Amino acid sequence: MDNIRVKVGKKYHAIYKELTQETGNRKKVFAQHGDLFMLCVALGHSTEEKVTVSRDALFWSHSLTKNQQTVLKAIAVKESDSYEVLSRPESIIQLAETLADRGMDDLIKTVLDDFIAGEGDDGLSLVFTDKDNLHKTILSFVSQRILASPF
Amino acid sequence: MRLQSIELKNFRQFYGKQTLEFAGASMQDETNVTVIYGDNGRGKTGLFRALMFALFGERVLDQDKNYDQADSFDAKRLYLVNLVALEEDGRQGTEAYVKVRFAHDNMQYEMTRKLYGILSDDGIVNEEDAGLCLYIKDVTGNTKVLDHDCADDINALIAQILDRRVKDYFLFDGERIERLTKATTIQRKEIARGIKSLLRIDELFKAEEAVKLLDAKITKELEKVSTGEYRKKLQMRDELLQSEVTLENDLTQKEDERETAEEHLRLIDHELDRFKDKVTLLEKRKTLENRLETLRQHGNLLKHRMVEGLSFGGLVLSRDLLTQLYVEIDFKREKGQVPSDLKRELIDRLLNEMKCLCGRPIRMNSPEYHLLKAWETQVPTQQTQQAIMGLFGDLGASQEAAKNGQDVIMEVLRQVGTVDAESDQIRQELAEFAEELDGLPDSDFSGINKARATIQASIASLDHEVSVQGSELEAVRDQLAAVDRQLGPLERESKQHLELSYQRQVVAEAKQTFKTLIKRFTDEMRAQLEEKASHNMAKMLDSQGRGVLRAVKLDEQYTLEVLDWRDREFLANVSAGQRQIVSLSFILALAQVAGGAASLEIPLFMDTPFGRLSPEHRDNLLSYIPQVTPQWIMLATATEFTEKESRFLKDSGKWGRVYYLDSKVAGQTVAKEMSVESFRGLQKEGVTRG
Repeated sequence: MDNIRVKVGKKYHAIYKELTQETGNRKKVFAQHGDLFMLCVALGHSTEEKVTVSRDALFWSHSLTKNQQTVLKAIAVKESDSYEVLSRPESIIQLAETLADRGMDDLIKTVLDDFIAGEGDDGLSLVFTDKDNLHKTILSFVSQRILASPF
Repeated sequence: MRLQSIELKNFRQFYGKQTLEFAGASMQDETNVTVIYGDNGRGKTGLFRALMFALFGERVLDQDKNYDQADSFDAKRLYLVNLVALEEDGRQGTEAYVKVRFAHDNMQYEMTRKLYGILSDDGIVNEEDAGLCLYIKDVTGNTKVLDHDCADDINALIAQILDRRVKDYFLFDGERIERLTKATTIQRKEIARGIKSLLRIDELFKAEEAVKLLDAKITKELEKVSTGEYRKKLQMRDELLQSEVTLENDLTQKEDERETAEEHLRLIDHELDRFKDKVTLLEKRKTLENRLETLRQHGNLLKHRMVEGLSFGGLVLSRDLLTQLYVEIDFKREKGQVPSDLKRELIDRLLNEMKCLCGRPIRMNSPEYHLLKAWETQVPTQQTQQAIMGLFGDLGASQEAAKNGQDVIMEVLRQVGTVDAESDQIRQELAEFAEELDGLPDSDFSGINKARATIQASIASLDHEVSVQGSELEAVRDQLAAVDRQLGPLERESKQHLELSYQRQVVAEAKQTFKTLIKRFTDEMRAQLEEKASHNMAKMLDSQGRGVLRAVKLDEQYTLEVLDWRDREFLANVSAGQRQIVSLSFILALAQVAGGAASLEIPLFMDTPFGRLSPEHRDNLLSYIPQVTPQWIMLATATEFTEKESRFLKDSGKWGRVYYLDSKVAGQTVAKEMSVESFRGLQKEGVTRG
């Protein structure tokens, strides 16, 4: 896949930043933007609710692992119901961006809502400490989704 | 020392001026027992305090100290000036004094020590010394007066009569006197010094020191005027003498350091007693806190594992999709659709040219046309087919990775759950401990334990140094003896300065003689003390005690031990009452030996003496002590000194005086003297009780 600038909703940029940054009183929750992005894409794929946001570039697609790129391709095929999309990396990423914002919306509603301090010019701000154990909360949420899966 | 009277003015509970006179004030007195009778808090111990204050200026008695709570006694809050008088005089201030009259060695003494108290507006009592004065009258009637300016002379004089280091022996308080036999090393050493002073043993040590100094001086003088081998040996001797002094000083210093460390250790152990009941809980709490810390660290490591788990989040949640797509492509593969035998590019060319491969034209809407159109939608382009096949391969690997990721997520969550559950359980237990321990901080406990370990290590190190220096000192002394032996012939050969040489020899012999003498005298004193104490004990023990205990034994630090009839050390096994008898026997012996006669030369105060004693012990005490003491001042309460005891004492014929400490107003005690007969009369009627 070509190296493409991946965009996400501007309002979610701060959340991506907070969850991937290590500060004095807390450890990072996601190793990099791509990991959170991929989780959001997967969540977005399984929800119908649409989100309208203006997007801005966040990271390069080459930072995604091979397996993550495979998932993006598979989802793109499913979403477009065509294999032709495989030869259009821009389309794959675009589709993924839409799903990622949808998934982030889902994640906020189900998990992060209590930690959202408000929405300013920089978008939604997330406030948490190590004691909030967000790692466990998000991972438990993922495991519940896994167990809820029919297969 | 014969105590004649104590005059008190506004001292402690004694309001105004009051005088108490004592039986046995002169050698000619037939009676020698004075009973000070009163309820607790009326000032019985205050009389002994008054004596100690007058003689030594001391406000605090050994008895004041609560050794279970070493630092709980605050001497500044012990007010000596009578508080009622202070309230009356207000800011003008109140004078208080104690005047003690006594006889010693045919001399009459009158010692007065004053103090001044002022009550501030906020109720704080301030006390300060207001002078002292000693009148001394000899047999010819000549009087000498020493006042405040001669305080050092006064103190030296009093110390000759009663050494302050042993003064606490002479207030025999059954509850606390045992402490003197259970003292720390430093206290024992101090007491031993006091006893040595009382027995005049320290004079010998002083003389020995003087001879040593003389020896060093003569050796130096000889060295200056000598020559040759003789001079060399003298130099060597001088150096050895200096080494001996240095080593002795170092050794004393190390021993003192060791004793200080031991004292520190004792205080720490006392502090640790605070934790005694809770030590198991504290240790358990520490274990739990350590475990919680381990779990916290493990939790932090698991956070890294959770980050790893979350990197699989998107992959794992898409696992079904990956499987579906994999199956779908596989199906297409099986059907030959990918990679297809039909080339999409060929179909596109046939449709474009509307010609079959054989050259026959294809008509619109013909079956051939529709078939080609159907193929056109079903068969992907070559590029897409390649992409599908690439994806097919990647899907296989990603499915495997997704499975692995799921395992990672589930395992890390299981571990986090275990850690969290255990941590919650521990926090709950710690909360329960916190209630039980009532806020007792663990840091204190562990800090004190660390300090204890440090001091123990320091003691071990000092022990080693003492042992090494002790050996060095022995070696120096051996060398000194060898040099002394070599000096003899050299001295004779050199024939130099015969007079100085002779002096050196005499001093060397004197040194040796002193050493032997001190050893002999000390042993003799100890033997005398042991003999007298054993005798006293036999007189005062009940028949059962006499059947078990044979003798009192003293070690070099004058620490008490008692031997049974099989000469086994038995003090740890005796009853509280027997222990009191043993202690009292020693104190009597000490005064007897110090007095140099069968009779004591120091008055003996006894506070509530019968508490732990059996009836036979009590009767023995009542009949024996008046025989061996010049003066016995018994401080007794109604419950201890009943009609029975008073009858027994009266029958001894030694009971001379009795004072009844009365208190109609709180804080004001009046010492009423009455005759023994009238006291007994009141006692019989029960008037004195309460």
